[in-house]
This record gives sequence, structure tokens and C-alpha cells, in this order.
Amino acid sequence: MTQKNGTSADPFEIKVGLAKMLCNGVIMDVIDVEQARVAEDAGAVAVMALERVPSDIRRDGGVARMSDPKMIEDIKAAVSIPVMAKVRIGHLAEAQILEAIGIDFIDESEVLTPADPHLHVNKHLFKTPFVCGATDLGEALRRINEGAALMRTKGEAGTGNIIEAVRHLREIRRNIDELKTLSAEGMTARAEQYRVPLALLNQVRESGQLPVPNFAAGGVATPADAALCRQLGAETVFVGSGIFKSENPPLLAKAVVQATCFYNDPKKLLEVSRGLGQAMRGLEISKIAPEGLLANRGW
Amino acid sequence: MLSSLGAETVRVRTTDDLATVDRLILPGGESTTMLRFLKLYDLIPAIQEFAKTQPLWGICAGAILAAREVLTPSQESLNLINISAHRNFYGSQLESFTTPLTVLGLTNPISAQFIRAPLLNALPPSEHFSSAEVLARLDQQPVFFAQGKTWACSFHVELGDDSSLHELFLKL
Repeated sequence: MTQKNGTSADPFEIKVGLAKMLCNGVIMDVIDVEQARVAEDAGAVAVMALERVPSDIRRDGGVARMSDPKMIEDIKAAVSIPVMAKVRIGHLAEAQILEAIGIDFIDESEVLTPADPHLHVNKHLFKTPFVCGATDLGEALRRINEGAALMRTKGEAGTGNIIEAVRHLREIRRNIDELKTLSAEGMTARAEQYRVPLALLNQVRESGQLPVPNFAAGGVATPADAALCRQLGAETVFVGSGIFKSENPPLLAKAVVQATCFYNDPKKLLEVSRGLGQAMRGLEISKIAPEGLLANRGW
Repeated sequence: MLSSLGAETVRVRTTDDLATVDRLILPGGESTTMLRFLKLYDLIPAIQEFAKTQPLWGICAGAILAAREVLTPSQESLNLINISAHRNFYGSQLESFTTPLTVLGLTNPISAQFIRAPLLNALPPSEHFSSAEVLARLDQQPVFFAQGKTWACSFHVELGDDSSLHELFLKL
């Protein structure tokens, strides 16, 4: 809808609005039209269109870039739910291309090879909302200050191992709770340490939560993983490699969607967890060389 | 928002949940996803029965679910109000915006947020349905309908801090 005469718009509020519409849903990585349809049929609330899922990027190595716009457009045409796509950290030209496609959400993602060694994209310059990853409160607030309308944990993408996502969810919670214990000087020092405006930090201290929704991502492989993240405060989950690297993607996709909605109902979780076939193989974090850890990307 | 007006709220996920409430909001979100849940938990006949006597408000995706006819692409619906809904009519997230909106029955304009909004239109009266009443328009285009105690609007009101429409709904 084009903006009408006499209307006022708070672009950031609208961006956060779409993020809120996704809460309780599941966002699934898909690499083609067929997978996008499986995801939509299973009840995904959005799909992330990318050429290689994180576990393949991890295996193949090389520079991982934004996907071919043609592939993203094909997926956009095939489903009615919102479509997201990834750009490299700091790659504003890739972001401009995705905005020109009319993508619903841009993920400035550590899963791709970073393009800028110092800066992330200035997300206020875009009409398209951005989602970014974080490992702690400082990182989350730097991204929000740059204009991110949605946060997610970085977790450790492509591992099928939930430990890092849990670490990041708990760390952000702990950092927020800690603000209550700080004096005025302590808050000023913390804002400096985090490299964010004091007003933003005060807002978080007041409300006890991030000013935008926070989702879990990076390592979700089972319905129980999704339920765990929700119980730790994530408003929903992204599932990357977990679904389509499993033995029975349609069945697992449905189960993760149900578990995300009924995350606090153990009987329901039991019901949806039965007989799903083999989950993705997974990786132990300690077996990954330090330079292979994606969560360390981003500044 | 509703809690601040003194109403008790329940998240309805099953027919058991539905039995505990006296009015229902079908909120914004993704109608495709919500429809799958409604089917899976047998909520369609239950909500249709509920809406015969109780107030129901479909917001954005909820309005798509409540409509008699859903287009682009076509999709099943609850058939509660005599309107059609064109999904994602106003384009992607890029075309979302906030605007003041005058609503029949309210003195002051509300702040309405259109986010990937559907296009709603009245359908001609049929055997089962009279015409739905238009409660608000944006540049001539209807954006808010009422039929009996059923409401359908293409915009969001749950994201701001204006509660005047919620108050009206609680009085239905």
C-alpha cells in the first residue's frame, strides 16, 4: 500500500509490528519451491529462502553470499506466507537488492561470510525490517540501535546442537536482570561498555525486556528443542538445517510447529515427538575449530 | 490491552479453551498458519457455533478467516461475515503504514496500522446473509465491517496504545 496523503507513519513501529505477527510461529530455512511448500503446509509462519542451509555452508566452506534473487523470487511466488532472505553482515548493496525484490524481512546473518570488518548495515535507511543475531544484551542493543526490528539468538547454526542458543537466551536474560542492580553510574558505564545510548539501556531496565521480539535460532533440531527455547523466553524459533536435513521433513516440520505453540504442554509435546524418524546428525561444538564458529562473527 | 480494561483474557488453542470465553478475537498473524491449527483442533465448527450468539472480532489475518470468501489465493474460511478478502492485496512489508482512521461510533480517530493488509469488500446479500455494515473507510475503500456481533477489520489496533475500539468490542 502506498502511503496516503495526510497519514503519519512510524516506520519502526510497523517493522516491529510484522515481527510481532510472527511470534508463536516457526520460520523455516528452505532452498527451493518444493521445500517452501512443505514448510507452508506444515504451518510455518514464514520461510527463509537461501541457496544452502547452514550445515551445507559449514561443510562446503568458501564464501557464502546472498542467494540468487531469481531463486528468492520463485519462492516468493510459490507461497503466501512472508519470505525472508539473508545478507552478509554489513553488505548494504545485498540488502538494497533484497529490498528491491520486495522481501518481507532481511536477515543480516553471521551464517554468511561477513562483508564489513567493522560495521553492520544501517538498518534505519531501509523500509524493509531486519532481523539480526546476538549472543548477549550488548550485541542485541547495538543491532536494535542500528534499526533491527527483530532479534534472534545466534546459537551455532548448522550444528543441530541447541547448547549455544540456550547459552545466548540465558545470557540475554541474565544481562537484562542485572540492569536492575546497577546504580546510575553503573548504567552509564554499562551503556559505554555496550556501545549503546543510555536511554535505550534505561528503557530495557524499565521494561525488563528487549524493545523488539527475541526469537531463538541456531541448532534447533527437534520439537523438544523448540519447546525448550520457548520456555526460556524465546517468542518463537527459526529452524535452519534441522528440518530438511532430517529423515522425514514434512513430519518433523509439523511437529516443530505444534511444539512451538504448545511448548508448555508436556502431553502434547510427547504426542508430537513420537516416531519422527532420524533428526539431523548434528555436531559437537567443541569439535569445531574456533575459526569455524559462526557466533563469533559480528561486532 | 484488554486486561488494562478489566477483561480477563485466555489464549484459545482448543475447543476446551473456547468453552471458557464469552467473546473471541481472531488476531493478526498468518491466516494460512492459523487455518491449519483451526482444522487440526476441530475449531472451525466450534467457532461457527460460538459466533452465532457471541461477539467475535477478526483482525487482519483474523478478518480473512472470518470472511465468506477468500481470494488470491483462495482459501477455506469460517464464513462468519458477508465480505470477501483478497489476501496480501497491498503488497509486502514494504507497503505497510500507520494512519489515523475515523470509525463509526467513535468520536476520535484511531491509529490504524496496515501490515501486509488484505483488501475487504462487501458481498451482495445471499440466502444466509444480509449485507455487512461498513464501520470505517480509508480513501473510499472499506476497511472495517460489522455484521451482528461479528467484526472484521483489515488493520491492526493491538500494536498501539489506543484502546477505544477494544472498549467498544467489550460492550457488544
